[in-house]
Amino acid sequence: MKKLLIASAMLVSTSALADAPGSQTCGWGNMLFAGQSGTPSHVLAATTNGSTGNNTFGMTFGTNGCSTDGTLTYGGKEMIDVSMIMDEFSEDVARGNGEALTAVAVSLGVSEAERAHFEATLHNNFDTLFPSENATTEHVVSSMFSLMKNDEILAKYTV
Amino acid sequence: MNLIFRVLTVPFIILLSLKVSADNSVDTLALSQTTEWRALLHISTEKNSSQIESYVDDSKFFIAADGYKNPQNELLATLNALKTDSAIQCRYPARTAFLLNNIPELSNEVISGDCTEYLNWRNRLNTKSVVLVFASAQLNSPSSMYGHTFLRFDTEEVDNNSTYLSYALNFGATVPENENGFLYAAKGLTGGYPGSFAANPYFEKIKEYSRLENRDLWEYKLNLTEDEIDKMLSHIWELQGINFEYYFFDENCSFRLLELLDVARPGLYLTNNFPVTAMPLDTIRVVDDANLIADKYYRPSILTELEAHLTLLSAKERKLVLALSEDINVLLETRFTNLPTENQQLVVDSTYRYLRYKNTFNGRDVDITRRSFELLRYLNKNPTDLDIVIATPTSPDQGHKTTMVSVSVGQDEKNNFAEFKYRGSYHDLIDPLDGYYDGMSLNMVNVSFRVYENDDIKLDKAELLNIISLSERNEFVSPWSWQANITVEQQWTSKEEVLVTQGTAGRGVSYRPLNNSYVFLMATGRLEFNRKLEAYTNIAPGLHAGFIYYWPKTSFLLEAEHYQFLFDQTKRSRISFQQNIQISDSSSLRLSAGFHKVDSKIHDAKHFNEVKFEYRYYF
Repeated sequence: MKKLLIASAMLVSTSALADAPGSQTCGWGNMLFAGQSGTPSHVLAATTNGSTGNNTFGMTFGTNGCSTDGTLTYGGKEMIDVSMIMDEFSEDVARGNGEALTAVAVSLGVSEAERAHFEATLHNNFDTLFPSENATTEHVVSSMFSLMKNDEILAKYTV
Repeated sequence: MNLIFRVLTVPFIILLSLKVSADNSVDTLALSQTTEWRALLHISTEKNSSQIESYVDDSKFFIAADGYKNPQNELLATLNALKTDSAIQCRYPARTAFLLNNIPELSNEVISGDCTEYLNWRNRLNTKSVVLVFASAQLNSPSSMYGHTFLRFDTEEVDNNSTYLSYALNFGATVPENENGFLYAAKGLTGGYPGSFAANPYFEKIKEYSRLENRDLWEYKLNLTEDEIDKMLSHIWELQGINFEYYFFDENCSFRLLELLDVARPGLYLTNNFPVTAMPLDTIRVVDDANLIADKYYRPSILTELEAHLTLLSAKERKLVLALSEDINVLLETRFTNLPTENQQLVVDSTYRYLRYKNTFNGRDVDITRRSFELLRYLNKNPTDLDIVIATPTSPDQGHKTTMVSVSVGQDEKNNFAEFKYRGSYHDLIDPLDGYYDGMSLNMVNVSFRVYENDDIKLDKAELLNIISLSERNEFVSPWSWQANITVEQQWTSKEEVLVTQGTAGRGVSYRPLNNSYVFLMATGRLEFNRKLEAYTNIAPGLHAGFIYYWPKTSFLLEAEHYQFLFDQTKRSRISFQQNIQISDSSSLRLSAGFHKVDSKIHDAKHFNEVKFEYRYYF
């Protein structure tokens, strides 16, 4: 079930790893973290109920100039592209819960029973994950993985 | 391996069996006339055979050259293709399943194919439930003023707060990036854009609506069965890359989604409810009436969340939020540190939200980014126990219906009258508020006739369009309020009533002096075509002010308006009161009184009054 869930969460072909995280030129409005840059010109496309998605269903999901497909692989492991939800994710980590945090947990395959532990671990290490407002997605993801590797419960989700 | 996968693979395994010639006694005509087949071809079941034409405007979708207007030929062509081309069953999984179901012996003749791509897609979606999402109306964008709908496909685990990863399917016009909203509206009305389905992760839709456009989302979970979901998804696959014409009023996002539901559960005939227009809000009701809705969930926008926080603050704390949003060192000042811990956290939380909201489109300013980060760190170090629950408002489908007729009795300067009114859509400033936003008025096609005591009948007013959008200004935000209307109406000119055509636009400010109220003032410009004025075409600058108060079942509007034509010396002034009282879910009573004055250089000032008592019925 877990595998299927991850697969369904990805919704994309497995040949992920488009751009290096954090280097994209895509984005939605201004972002607190540099993981995304502001591109107001895309706003109009959104306000017109227009089709901003990709009309090849489920092959790539890059939208609005983003070259990413919504996922990336880290050390061979597939997960949601955190750079696309950096603001929401950082806020959830600061608070210790929220949908972006859950989405990251689910995309890593963290079981429901261990999700609270995952959330608490990230929450307690906010400073490590987000040392400054200039933290890149790459830094955030790699520190998240080292935190998990050093945690006996979460280590199994990093491979 | 999950059940869906097994169910899907069965037909394809069957196809591998030996080919045996099929019985040719199949009644393809009858089959091609079924609701199911017509739904698969997007052909209305209401049209008879000489008029039928598919809504799909893309020859790629059809196998027969005349398939768009001849469902039987398309059926025969599909049957034939299935027997000769192994790719067809992967390209048309819903048609294939329908034909196999109805012509069992066909399975012996279909050439087996490798549908890995399709099966992988289905497997990745792993859909267990389908959600109809309604993005609430936003008046400040002309193209989204009636709201928007799209579908979301959830996996089994979705209840555990992971809808971010769900699959959203949107039907929309394919609009060039720099097209402006008004051009969009104009082209959208006339089918100037192709429309197609597009897929996104749901979190992108949340950002688009909840964060960028500040639109609340309503998520209606549908009670589709596994089999119905299978039908829907297999048909959606057939629509990949297929173009429809996009029409803002009828063949829009909502209409297309109803077609998909008609495919999923044949016999609902949902699309037949909308011969003329398909307003997203009304399509939700139709889906509800067909008993398709199992559950609904409210997702407030970023702005709604911010407002919910700000309302919890005292006046002092609101000042603190503003100060803190400018200077992080306010955290060290006694006016902050003296607050109880809970209030400190609320102030910081509100400030963080405010800064993020305010700078959504402002680029990544170094100082603001720094301050936002400091606030986030503070939130992390001082976790709050505050759980701010945003009350779920009445859902849009529970509000009054969007078409209205009314009957009134009243008296104007001429005589006693009875008035009959029809309004195509959809809500004015004081109509019953449940399910709608306050401070917004959107009326299209609003026509009233008056029958006078002496048997005269007159067109009183015909509104093509009348929009008022009030957005509160306060110490945190300063949006503009605006209005626009185009009407044909009676105006007292040169000693008689004259039917004139006019357009007015206005812009100004609104405040909330009390809870549940608005006060507004707008500068207006009026363009009027009136054969009794000095020139036929006239321009009049003016002012329009008003006060609205909302009680739970009744609302009150006081208005004053004055404008003066630039060359002609005619001036018109009006003061009016209106009180609307809701008496049931579908009706209200309205009392209105107006005091009018017309000044002109060719006659003495003309005063006249008008009172009216109205029964309004929404349907």
